[in-house]
This record gives sequence, C-alpha cells and structure tokens, in this order.
Amino acid sequence: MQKILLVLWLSAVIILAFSLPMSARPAAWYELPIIPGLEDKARILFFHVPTAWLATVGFIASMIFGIRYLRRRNPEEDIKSATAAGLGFLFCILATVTGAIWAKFSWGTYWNWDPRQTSIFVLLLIYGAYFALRSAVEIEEKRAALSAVYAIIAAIVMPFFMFVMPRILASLHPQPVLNVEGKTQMNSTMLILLLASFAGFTGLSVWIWNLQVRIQRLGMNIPTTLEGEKQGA
Amino acid sequence: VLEFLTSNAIYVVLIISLVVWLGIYVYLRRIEKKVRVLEEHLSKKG
Repeated sequence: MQKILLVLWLSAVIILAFSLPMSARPAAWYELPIIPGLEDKARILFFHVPTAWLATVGFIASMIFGIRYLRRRNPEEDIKSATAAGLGFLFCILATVTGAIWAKFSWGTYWNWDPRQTSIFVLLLIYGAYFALRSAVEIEEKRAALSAVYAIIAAIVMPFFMFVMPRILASLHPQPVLNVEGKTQMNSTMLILLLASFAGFTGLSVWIWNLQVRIQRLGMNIPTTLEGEKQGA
Repeated sequence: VLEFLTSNAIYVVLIISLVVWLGIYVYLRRIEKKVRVLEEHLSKKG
C-alpha cells in the first residue's frame, strides 16, 4: 500500500513540476512564478534540491548508525551506517550531475569551479575516501569501527561544505531555499510542490535503504545457512 | 501528437522523467519480491 502511494505521489510531483504553467505575476493557484534568469530551467529545482537534501540526510544517518555501532558493536549497525553513507553518496552525485546540467544551460558551462561546485566536489572526495577505507580493511570488526569513526568525523565536516562555504564566498548559484535572509523567491504553490518532492524522495530513499540493508543481512546469513545445510546433508 | 510535442518540448521531458521513475519503481518492486522469497527461505531453514 505504501509503495503504491509512493509511486502515485512521485508521479504526481513529476507531472505537476513539468506541466504547471509559469507566469511573471502568478494570479491563479496553479501558476508558478518565473525566476529571472532561470525561467523554465527553474523546474529542475524540484529534483535537484531534494537530491542535495537526501545526501545530507544520508550522511547524518550514517553518523547516527556509526555512533550506535561504536556503542553496541552490533554488525547490523555497521551495515545500516555504510548503506546510509552509500545512499548519501549516490544522491550527492545526482545533485552534482543535475547541478552541472543546470549550470550548462544557465551559466554556459557544465563546470566552472563555483564555490558550490567546489564544496560538493570536496564532499564527494571525503565520502569516496570512506568507501576506499572500507574496502582496504579486511578484518570485519576493525573495518566497522574505523568506518564508524570516519562516518562521524565526515558528517561533522559535511555541513561546512554543504551549507557554510557556499554562503561565505560569492557564488553564481541561485539563492538556496534555506538562505541567510530566510526568504524564498517561491510562491506557495512552488513551495508546496518542493516540499511534496522532499517527502516523496525521502520515502524513496528510505525504501532503497531498507532494501539494501535486507540484502546485506541476507549476505551475512546465507553462508552460515548453506554451511548448516551442507552439514545436515 | 508529434507536432504538439515538437512545439512543447517540456512534455517530452515530462514523459521521459515519468518513464525513468516508473522503471526505477518496477525494478525496486522486483528486487523486493526476490529478497522476500530469500528471507522466507532462510527463516524456514531456521
């Protein structure tokens, strides 16, 4: 039931995001405002911003499960932490790619080392190193403990690259939703649609995370079960 | 229809996005089904 609701919800978000008309002075409830310099390209906002949000959520979740692993030493917490970091990394790549496509049509180039592009690139490097670390250590307990500590440190550093650095330096990036002035250039329709997109993408992310954790758990249990079956035979 | 889509390219983007999303959804549902079968198998084996 939840999955059917999710598919209908995100399909509705996609349909509305691309089909609602844009107007310089929106009068009707279904009209979206034209953001100067962005026009129709502003529609990518409904997908680009949620991916950046989910990257943040994934990295924070990775830190929380990392802390839980260090307290309980339960391998399942390590799986949850690594899966959350993986999802955060995936959404971080998606935010970078959608941002680069946006930049191509707004700034004329895919990549120009804008502070926001630079900061997300550094963030990708930090979490890329997390997976390199995981694959470099063979002993499971050691790998889990080291990556839990790394996930905590990386998540503490993450807000600086995600929120602080792009606001300190002059950037071509449009004013983010969470900005210094606390103002948005959106009307209520645009904001509701963006929040609906946040909710839909969060649901999708939780679903993928849950599936991945279950698959990893199966990976832990199958070898022991097969061993038992062999001995039984 | 083709003429309409040519002059309203945003609907082409809409259709492609919907197809991609529905593809991801079907893929995830199939994986979930397989995972559930494996979980049931393992829980029977104890």
